[in-house]
Amino acid sequence: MQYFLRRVLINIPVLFLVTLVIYLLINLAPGDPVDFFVNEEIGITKEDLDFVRERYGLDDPLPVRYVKWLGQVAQGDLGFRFKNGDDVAEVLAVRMRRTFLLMGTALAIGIVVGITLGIFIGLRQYSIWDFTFTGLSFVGISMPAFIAGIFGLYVFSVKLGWFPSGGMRTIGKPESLFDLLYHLVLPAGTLAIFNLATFLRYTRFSILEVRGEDYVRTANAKGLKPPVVTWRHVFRNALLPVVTVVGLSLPTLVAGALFTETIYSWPGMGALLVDAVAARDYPMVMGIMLVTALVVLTANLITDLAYAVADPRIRYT
Amino acid sequence: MSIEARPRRVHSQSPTAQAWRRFRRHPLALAGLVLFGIVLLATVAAPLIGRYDYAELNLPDKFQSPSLAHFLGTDRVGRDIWSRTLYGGRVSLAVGFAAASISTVIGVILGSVSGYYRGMTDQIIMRFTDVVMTFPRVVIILTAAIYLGQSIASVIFLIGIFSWPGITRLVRGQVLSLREQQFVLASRSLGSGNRRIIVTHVLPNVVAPLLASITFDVNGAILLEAGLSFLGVGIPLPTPSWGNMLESARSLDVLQDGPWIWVPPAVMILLTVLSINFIGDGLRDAIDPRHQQG
Repeated sequence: MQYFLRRVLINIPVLFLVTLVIYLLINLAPGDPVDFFVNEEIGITKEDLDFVRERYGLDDPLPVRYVKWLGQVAQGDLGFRFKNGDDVAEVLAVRMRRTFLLMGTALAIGIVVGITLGIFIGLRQYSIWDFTFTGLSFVGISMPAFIAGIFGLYVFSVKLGWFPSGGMRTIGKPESLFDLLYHLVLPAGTLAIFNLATFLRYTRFSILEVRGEDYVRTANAKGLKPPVVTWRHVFRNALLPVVTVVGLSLPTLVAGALFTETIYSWPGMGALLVDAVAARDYPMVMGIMLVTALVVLTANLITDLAYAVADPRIRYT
Repeated sequence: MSIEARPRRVHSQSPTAQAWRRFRRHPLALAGLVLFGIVLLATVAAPLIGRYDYAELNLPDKFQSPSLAHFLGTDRVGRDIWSRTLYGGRVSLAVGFAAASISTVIGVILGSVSGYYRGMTDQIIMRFTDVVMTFPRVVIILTAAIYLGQSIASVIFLIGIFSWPGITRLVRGQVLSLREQQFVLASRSLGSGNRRIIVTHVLPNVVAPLLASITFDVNGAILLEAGLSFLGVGIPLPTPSWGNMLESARSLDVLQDGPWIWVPPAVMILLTVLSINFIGDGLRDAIDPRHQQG
């Protein structure tokens, strides 16, 4: 219990530092944020800019602004976009769902296929399957999402025409689950590759390591049937550390989603961040960074706790 | 004739020599080394085999498919793809190594301070590491790129200063256990100061486990540069890098009708990253024989 408490508490200063880093990163940027609103055509006056400055509370000293901002964030108020005045929190809620759909699908593919294959070849070391999949997994971990994405787009969309080149649904068609899944195949497949390969390699390695342990030899020696040894002694111990690898894969997944969304014009958070940064839409950028950091921190925490539940030997030191 | 134990030559190889022997026997590592050597050689020899200036526009010859005049064709403004791929490799590799050097230096300093002094210093550095690790690197660099204008130097700098957490943690772990060793105690009892102990006794023992980690770091930096350039915030044109050559594939007409423009950089990135992964894997297995991953 104490472990759980400490594990949760240790994240609180980290969370504060994260908000501070985000805030400073954006607010120390050179140039006046209200420059965004300077527009020759409409003829923005100095009074207008002062109004904007006041509305966004840009006149206060930095520490005051930070505390104010933190207070608003704590209440779920992330401000309004420079670009079009939309509520950042609302926009994020919509975008997040799409990104989570993409990341969730990719992660599920990675876990199911990666771990299954990893177990399969882990039990057949040096077989033809082992060489094939180990070799492929090397390519997989060397293939960044943007290359996988471009090849995927070129082969399966441009050349073969099997899947749409981007977007979330076919324009002019009624929204349907099938249509959504149809659009999801390529981006999710692209995003899954790296993690799939990572999980596969790690599972294989873990299985091989556990199979060399003394207690496995003992179990075999005392005449247990091989399937019993495999299920009870090997899997239980070998699959535990895989939990950690899955949990720690989240940052790479977020980064991969950014590229995947850009390539397949999947309207999620990653594509939005690229746009928002290009447009200097600071409230939006801060919102996305905050959400990203929260997601990663939560995932780390869940991983740690899940591991502790699954393996009572683990205790915080 | 008496059976006499022939005096056996004692093989007292240093750990480094043993590791090198194991590395040489690692087929994938060797393959990686050869592959990487070829890539490196091609980029170094770029002025000799490049044939065209990488930045020279040649509008009459734009968007040509591969031919004898242009091995790999030309891009939309008539620049030679073969030359750009070779020179782009220089930029990509240089950025990768330079950025990894920066992050290694930061990581070694922070990690050894953290692990050696422990206590409050350690807590502060580790929490700070946690914070940096909370952001995927692309996300934070993309945002930080607002500050610095686009240039090779700023890309190197940004990748370098956001990539040290992994190395910091590794070094810290090593130092934590090394500082309790007898030889450190011996040195201290002879009157060595902390800095001397860290530099002459602790750090040399960290080098071996660090090597593999640095190779993967170089890979990370190469990929990050390519990714940033792909998003249009990395190496500015007309300087070629594999990433910004790949960026052209984001427009559908190039993707569709000009595969010769984006396939070469994509293949080069894949080959480079693959070969460095092989080398890193070999190094890890060689240094820690327990960690055999085949």
